[in-house]
Formats: sequence, structure tokens, C-alpha cells
Amino acid sequence: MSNLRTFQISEGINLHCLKDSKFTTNSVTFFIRTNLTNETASKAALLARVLKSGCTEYPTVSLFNRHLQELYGCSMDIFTFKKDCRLILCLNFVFASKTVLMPKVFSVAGNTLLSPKKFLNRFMEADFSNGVYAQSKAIRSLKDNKIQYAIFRLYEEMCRDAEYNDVSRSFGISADGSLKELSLVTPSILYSFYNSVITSEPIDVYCIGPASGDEFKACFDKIPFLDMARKKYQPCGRLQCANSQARIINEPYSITPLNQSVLCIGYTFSKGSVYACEVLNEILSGSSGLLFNTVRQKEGLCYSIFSNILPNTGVLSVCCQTDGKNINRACQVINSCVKSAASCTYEQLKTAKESLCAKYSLITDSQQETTGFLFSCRLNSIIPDTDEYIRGIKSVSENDISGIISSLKEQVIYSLN
Amino acid sequence: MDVIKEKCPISGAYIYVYTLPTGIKCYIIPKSGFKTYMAMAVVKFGSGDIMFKQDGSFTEIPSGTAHFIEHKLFDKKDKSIFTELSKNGAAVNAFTDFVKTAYYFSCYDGFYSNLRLLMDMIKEPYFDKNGVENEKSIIKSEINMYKDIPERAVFSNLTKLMYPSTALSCEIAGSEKSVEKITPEILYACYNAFYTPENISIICSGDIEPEKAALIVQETDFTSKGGERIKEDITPNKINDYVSKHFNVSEPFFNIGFNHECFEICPENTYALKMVFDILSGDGSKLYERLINKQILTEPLGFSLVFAPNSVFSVISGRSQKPSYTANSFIKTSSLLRNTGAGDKAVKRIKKMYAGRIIRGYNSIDAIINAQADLAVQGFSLLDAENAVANITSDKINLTASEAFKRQNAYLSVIK
Repeated sequence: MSNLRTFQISEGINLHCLKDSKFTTNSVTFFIRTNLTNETASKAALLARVLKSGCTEYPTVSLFNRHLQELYGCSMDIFTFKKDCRLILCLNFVFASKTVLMPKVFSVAGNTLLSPKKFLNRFMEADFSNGVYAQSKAIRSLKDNKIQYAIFRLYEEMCRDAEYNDVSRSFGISADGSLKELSLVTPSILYSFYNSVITSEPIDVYCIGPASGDEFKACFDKIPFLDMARKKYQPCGRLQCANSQARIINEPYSITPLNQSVLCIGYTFSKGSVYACEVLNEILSGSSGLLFNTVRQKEGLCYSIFSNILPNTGVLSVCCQTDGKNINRACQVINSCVKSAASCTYEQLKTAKESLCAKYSLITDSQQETTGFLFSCRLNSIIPDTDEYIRGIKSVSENDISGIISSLKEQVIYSLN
Repeated sequence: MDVIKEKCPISGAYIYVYTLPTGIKCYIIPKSGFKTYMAMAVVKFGSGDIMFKQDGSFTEIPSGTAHFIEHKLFDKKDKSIFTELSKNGAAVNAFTDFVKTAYYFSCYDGFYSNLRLLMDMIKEPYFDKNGVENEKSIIKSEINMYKDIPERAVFSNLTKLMYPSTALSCEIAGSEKSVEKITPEILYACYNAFYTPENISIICSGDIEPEKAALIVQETDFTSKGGERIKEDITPNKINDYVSKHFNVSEPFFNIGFNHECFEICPENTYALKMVFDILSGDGSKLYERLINKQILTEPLGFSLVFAPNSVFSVISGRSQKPSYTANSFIKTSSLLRNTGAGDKAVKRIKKMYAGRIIRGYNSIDAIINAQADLAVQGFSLLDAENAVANITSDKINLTASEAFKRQNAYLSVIK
């Protein structure tokens, strides 16, 4: 990624451009960082919905979307997501690589971010009301996806056990926010939040495609962002839980039991680099990983099983769906699988590393994945280069893996039944 | 080897279509500059196939058999192709739908040797009693897992409503009961009937030498005898009321199904129907705006066209507190469009949007392979699809609008 060019537009606004002629489209992604609290999550998610409903130039949903259709079906999305203990507001455009389109798309981006529909110092009542309605539905619908909900509940419970002042505990908050916080927002409160986000939070913009850095910058320069210093954020740190032994939580999903229970086990760990964490996760969760081969293939306890590791937060979780009667057995087998990774064979380590190296080598084939990788590197102060990352993965040893496992603590066993 | 090399009119991509002496069709779409290589073997055998005739006798296929073969074909007597491919650094997977079973891998290097492994895998099965019995518990677990997913349940209820007592009303993976009936003998019989060269397409994309890939595919010998596919007589249900199942979801999920009885399968008809849907209720439509402002919808409706042996139906999906109102609004708007027709401006705009989507699709090897897989089962290629979009006219779209999405062909499934 030697051709990645970064332009500092002002203090806190950076434009990162990667020219890659193999793509048939250009992609432009804005990431606006903010603190993750129930309040900011609720406001930011609502803001995303209000901004999506149009801007002063294209004031209705149909006019806005028809304009995007005219731009060869330029895709546009605004949403929020969380990254460790931060909340990110993301605006993304992908459009066909035709010279005529780029200035028009940047103009839409600028209008969406800087010229929303408003009346005096508040958003329009109708857009706000539609946004609140949609967002409250999104918050309620978290429970409709059992796996997603079980993982959310696992993290929420793990964070409940964390030290009160631990900033990393905010990763247990939903990026959709809460109904309680949402009910406190008014059109003027939201507008004031919008103003503060757009003028004081750090913004990183990633442009990837056949266009050159200079072409992207020329278009970006036309967006009149305020030239003022923006906030700086520190890394989040790892979750510190005070549990001496794992808490077991069994929750009914509803009056009618689920056909398959969802089992999630959460662990914390204090050792290990980002690279070692990734390799451990691959040893466990890869397509021929320990969990798949043991829990599914050997024991026949489930159809789907996976693990997820959050290196910066120091959290490992394993999740599967199994018959309610198999929960205890599945817990035992999963725990022994996780522990057995400490004594992984040279062959298992090699397979996991090769699989990860292949995955990272292929990231540059996707604009979306490249954007995600580059932004993640920026948040974690890692050199934004896949070759560098692959070198880090290749350097992981058996000792690094056993080091993580030795610091691993089982914190919460959560089952949704 | 017969080969046709053509340049696609919208994306500018080249596609090579090989018809091999064995009967296998091989579609190769080279993409230079990409590091991902991907290949997919598509077999025209899906959960919609219920019976075949071989040597004068008829064999009934238990529900879930195509999906069971999908699970077991990776396993050989002394090795697992899944593990072998994974060891080579390839990501491997497979899926089954009403009309096909597909096996695929993507990788960073070793593409040609991985392609050989894929071909070895599909040319020779190994179904042993123990392996089949072990797989049953995994598949039953999969079936039960799907029962808890409202998106699947709402679709499953729709097909039960539209096509009761047919293969389309059954789950693709079958039921716990039907899976129990499956034996190695049944798997071998179905393999021999359907895993024949003329039922198989191989699709490859990446920075590939087309002829080298085609030669590997050509080297593969099949010993399957082949059987005559006996298609089920599918008559849509006369009752188009909605079904509802208490699922305790935060907001109802709904599927509106439209049976397209006389639909002739070709890319032109497929795209015309998709475009009519977008004009009627896509995110740029007045209907969508009205439903958002009435707080009946919060996201655009989804659309998919489902192909099954002997039937084609479309599914419009979404979530709303008022599914019936949404369905009625859609049908009413559709009837208005029949009278007024879509204006040239709208057609031009939608065509541009589809051209953009096609261009975007060429950014992803995975998207290229999957799009070609759907077309291959129908005997078409990406070139045919691009030609259809490039040449579609307002008249064609209005003709399609005049026939599609009529109340008498509509069905509504709701999960609450």
C-alpha cells in the first residue's frame, strides 16, 4: 500500500487516498469518531437516519434517491457502528468510475453532511419523527436476531462486571443506543449534537478507486468543513473484570422456548499482541479450526460455531447454537478446545497463519475491506500496510498463543433458551 | 474444446464460454489485477427435484437429499477435500437451493491445483453408513436452527401457502423426519442420476489463463449414468390469504409472493420484472416515500425472483406494523402503472441504475461467480444479462408491468 496518500486537510480532518486501477468503481467513506455512551449512540444513530432523509438540495426521499439513481445507481449509506470503546458515524458512497460522476458525488456528500434540512436551529419535525420511529424499531429489533442478541447480552454482562471507571466497558453498549435515551432527544437537541459532531470530532475520509489522490482531493476541497482543531482520542485499553469465577446466566427468549439454544462464553485476557490474538482466533474458529472440528464434526453438538476476538479490548467470545439439553456438554467441550489451543501443534499454527496471511493478502481486492483495514490501523496506530501486517502474523509463535491462553479468564457463560 | 469469447457491453469484461467434449460448460471471467481466485461447481440438482427415472424405473427423492449430498460430497474414503482445500489456504463452502447445488472455493494461490481438487471432489462420491449417520445430527441441528430465524420462517410459510404439498413447500434441508430416511444408497442413486457432465457448470474468475482452467475441467471423467428428471406438476394454491405464526418479533416480517405462471426464463424477462419492481417501489419511488412518511415502512422493500423446477415466483420482503396495507398499496400502485405506463425518463434512470449495479458487480470476484452461477443453471451467461440490460426498452418494461404483480397472483405471509 505504498501508494496510499494522506492529506491533512486541517487538524483532525484527514483525507486518505489509494489509487487502484483494477476497480470499476470509486468508493468514498467518511468516518466521524465520537465517544461511545448510551446518549451519543442514540443521538448518532438517529442523526444518521435524519441525514439519510435528504438535504436542502434534494429535500425528499424520492428526489434524493432518484438523484443517486441518475448517478449510475451510486450507492449511499449512513450508519453508526462501534469500534472497541468508540462510536463511529459512517457515510459511504460507491459509484461507477466515470469522470463526470466524481464531482457530483462529492457534492451530494457535502450537502448530506453540511446542508441538512433544518428550520432555525432544529431539524425538520417530519424527518425527525420518521427517524425516531425507525430508530426505535431498530433498537427493539436487536432481539429478533437471536445470535446477535445473545452476543450483545454477553458483552453487556461482561461489561457490568468491569471496573466502574474502565473506559473499555463502554464496548458493551449497543451502537443503536437505547429507547430511554432516544425518548429524551428533540429536534433542537439533535441539531445541537449534529453541530458539535460535525465541527469538533475527528474525521477520516478514505477514497479508493481508479481516480488519483489529486482528483479525490480536488473534489474533497470543495466541501466547506470548518477549519478548526478537533478532539483527540486515546486508545481504549483492555477490559478489567473482577470476577473470581465465571457467572452463569440462563435467559428465556420468550414464553415459547427456542428450537435451539444460543450459547455464548466470554473470556478476558491480558496478554498478547494484535497479531497473536488474530492467530489464536483462527486456530479456534477457522474453517478447519479446533471448534469446528471438535464441537461440530467430532461431537455433533451443533451446526454452526464461531469465536470472535477483540484484541484491543482483551475479549474472546465463543458462540454456538445447540439443543438445550446439550448446553453443559457444549460448555465443557468448548472450554477444553480453547485451553487446548495453548498446546497447538506446529501444523495447526502454520495452517492458521497461512489462512490469515491469505486473508490479509486478499483484502486489497475489496474497497470496503481495504477501507476497514486502513481505518482500523489508524485507530490502533498500526502502519497501514497489509504486507507489514502479514509480517506481524508470520512472527507469531506457539509461546505467543500459550501466553494469551495462560492469561485467559472465563467470565460469563450466557445462554438464551 | 469449443470456446466463445465475448466482450460484455456494459462492464467491458471478457467472458469465455467453453463447451467441453464431456458436456460440461465452463464459464471463465478473467479479472487481471485481482489477487483472489475463485471457482464454483454448479450442479443442476436442488431441493425442488423430487423424482427421477433410470433404467425404466422411477425413484422418489426424500426431501433434503440434494442438501445432504452437499454436506457429504467433501468426504472421501481416506480424506476430506474440505480439509485439503483449507490446508491449501482456500476458503471453502457450498449451498443448495431449489434448482442447484453449488460447491466453491476462493484462494490466494494454488488456484489450478485447488480446481483439480474441486473437480476430484464432484466426480466421485463416498457415502458410508457411519458418515451418513453422523451427518444426520448436524443437519437436524441446522434444520432446527433455521426454525428460529424469522426471515426463513416467513419465506417458508409463503411457499407452503403458494405451493402446498409440493417440494417447494419443504425446507431445502428437509425435515428431521425426511433426513432420517436418507441412506448411502439413496445418496448414490441421486448422485448417479444428477451429477452428470451435462448437469454441471464450472465457473472461474480471477487472474486466470482461461484455457489452462478449461483443460483441468476437461480432464475430469464422470462415471455417472444419468437419470431423467421428472418434474413435479406445480399448481399454485387458489387461496391467497395470509398465514401468520406467532414468533414474538418486535415488528412483523412479511413476504408478498407473486406467482408468474407464464414466465419464460431469460435475462430480458428477469431484468424487466426487476426494473418494474424498482419503478413501483424502489427507494426512489413515490410509493416508498409515502409509506415512509406514513411510518408504515422504514427501509425499502426487498425483491427476489425465485426459480424452481416448473415455477417462477417473486418475493417482496420487508417489515411493517401493517403488512396487509403495504401489500395492498403495492398492488394498487402496480395496477396504476398498468394504466399509465412507466415514463421514458423513469425507464432511462432505472436503466442507468442497473448499468451502475453491473459495473459495481465486477469489483468482486465473489459477485461475478454468484451472478454467473444463477444464470448458468438457466443456460445463460453474464454477457446475455448485460445485453438484456443494455437493450431493454420502455415498451418491454410496460408490457411486463401489464402482466406482473396482479392481485389474483398475490400471496401474503406474515410472521408476528
